[in-house]
Amino acid sequence: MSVRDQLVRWRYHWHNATRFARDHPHSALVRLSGLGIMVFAAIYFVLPLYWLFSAAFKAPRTIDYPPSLIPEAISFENFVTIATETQFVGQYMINSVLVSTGAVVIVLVLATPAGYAFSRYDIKYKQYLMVAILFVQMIPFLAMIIPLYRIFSVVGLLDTLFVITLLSAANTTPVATWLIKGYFDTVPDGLEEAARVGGASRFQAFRVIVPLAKPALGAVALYAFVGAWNQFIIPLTFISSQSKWVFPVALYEFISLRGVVNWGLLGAASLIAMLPVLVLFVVFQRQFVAGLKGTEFKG
Amino acid sequence: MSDDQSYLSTLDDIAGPEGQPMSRSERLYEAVDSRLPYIMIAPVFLMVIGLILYPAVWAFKLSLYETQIVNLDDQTFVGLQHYVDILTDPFFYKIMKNSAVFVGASVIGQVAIGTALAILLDRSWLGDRIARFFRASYILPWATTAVIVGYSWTFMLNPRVGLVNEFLRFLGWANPPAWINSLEWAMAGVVIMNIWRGTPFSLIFQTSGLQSIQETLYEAANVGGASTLQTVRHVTLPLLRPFILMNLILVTLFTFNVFGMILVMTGGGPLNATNVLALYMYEMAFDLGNFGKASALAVLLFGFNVLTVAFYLKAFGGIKQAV
Repeated sequence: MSVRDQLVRWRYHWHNATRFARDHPHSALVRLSGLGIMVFAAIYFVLPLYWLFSAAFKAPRTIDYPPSLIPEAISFENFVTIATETQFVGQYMINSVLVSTGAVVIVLVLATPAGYAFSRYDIKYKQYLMVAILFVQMIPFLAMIIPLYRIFSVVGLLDTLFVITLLSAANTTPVATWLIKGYFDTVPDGLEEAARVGGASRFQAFRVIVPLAKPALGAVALYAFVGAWNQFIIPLTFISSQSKWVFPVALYEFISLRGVVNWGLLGAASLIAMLPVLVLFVVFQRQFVAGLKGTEFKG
Repeated sequence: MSDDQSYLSTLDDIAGPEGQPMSRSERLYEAVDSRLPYIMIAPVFLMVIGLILYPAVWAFKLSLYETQIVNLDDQTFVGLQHYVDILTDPFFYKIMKNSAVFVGASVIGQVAIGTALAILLDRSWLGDRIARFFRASYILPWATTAVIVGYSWTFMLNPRVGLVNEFLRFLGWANPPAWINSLEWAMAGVVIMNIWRGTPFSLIFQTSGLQSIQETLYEAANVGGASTLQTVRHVTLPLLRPFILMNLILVTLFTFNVFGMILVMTGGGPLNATNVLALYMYEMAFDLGNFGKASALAVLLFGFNVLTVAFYLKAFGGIKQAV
């Protein structure tokens, strides 16, 4: 579309809006204030991250007073410092990717068959079991940290990436099971019926139907990935050696070791740490919201 | 699901295909396959029991013991001593007051803002593209780790260079609050941060609630001559009630457990002005090494969770409202 067409469109919309405002001044006022609230909310939600990340592109020691919203000159010095003097681009990234990917695999492998079974089969005490797996989420996660710490130190798994992966997955699995169950409820069972009548076993029927649940599995995978990626207290507690830090722990230690906060370096490190999630988020935002709609916590 | 799916769940496949007798491996396969539904759900329950339920029971037991950080097996039974110590310590009530302010303000703020934004985004009066843009910007904080949330708000609320104070000065407030350095304003800063982080969840939750409202009800309101505000007040909000209740319950449970952001932003300071129960418990366990007392705090925290749920259910009139 050319610039001129665009302008014509804008003029049309503007014309439309002014006519609407003239004819229905009351409704127009309500809509305008609604829009105003939404713009204000957008600023509230985006500005903190924008400002932190924009500090990353400012040359060192230019972030002072007064704070500027747009950097005068783009500088990558902070990124160079982070990349050369720390392991943010390297070990920490590898650790974070390993943990998050592992958590996604565990969640999908456990929750997909469970969600399917809850949706398709008559299981004894089904209602109670389904409520029970959500109810345990009411137990404060903090209450479990100390016993888990004991358990893992006894079996010698403390300070391993495996523990963080497992616990991140355990955090996500109950809700994931509910989401997948909810999705299978909306998939007609004609295909499995045909497979079963044709002599397929229950397992084979399950394998036939799983590909149809791709949207829900994708949403659950994203949910599990972001959840594991952002875990902070679990790795902070269970990991002690620096070579096994994941991004949030590395960021936290990076700042608390230095004492005086260098906002430019912090912004650069934060942006690196959040980049994969931001990319996933931008690319899959629609699928993600669609996957959660109508199923979250509701049977 | 419905009961008419007997073809999937009956155990009748004793004979193999075409009635031929089955070999041993075939029989084994069939035996496994007929129990498949239970085999499918078993791992999830193993995980929930092993990594959530069993540790929780253990925490309760641990709360009755005195432990030493140097040797965790060196435990002595002290009964309810930890609970007595905690409940007679005035510091605990300071923490509880902080927690009540933090949880109360955060929950009200985020459910109110989340519901309002969900209603504003609903029913595509803005056009899909604009709505999608707004929704993406609102959900962004959810994808942010607690550490980045904590630091970005420390930056925003910095008394000298922070954008918030810059804006307040622009509005004509000559001496804006020092936020996280000030005893009175630190909690407000922490709440603003937590609402920022928590609102996306409420927004998504209420969006799914709004989709359960049938279009015909809006049409009826429209035909009846109701204005937009009247429709929201008398159609949308009453029908959203069960979702608001469920959201309040879940968000309260989440918020009682929030402390990572606070740890990063203020570490509970200044002078414990932002120290909440969850943070106090974590420090008790991993800074002071008093695992027994920390477990007792965790049990109390669980008690508050249960009380909160009971309170909401009573206030909104029974569990039927939520499920």
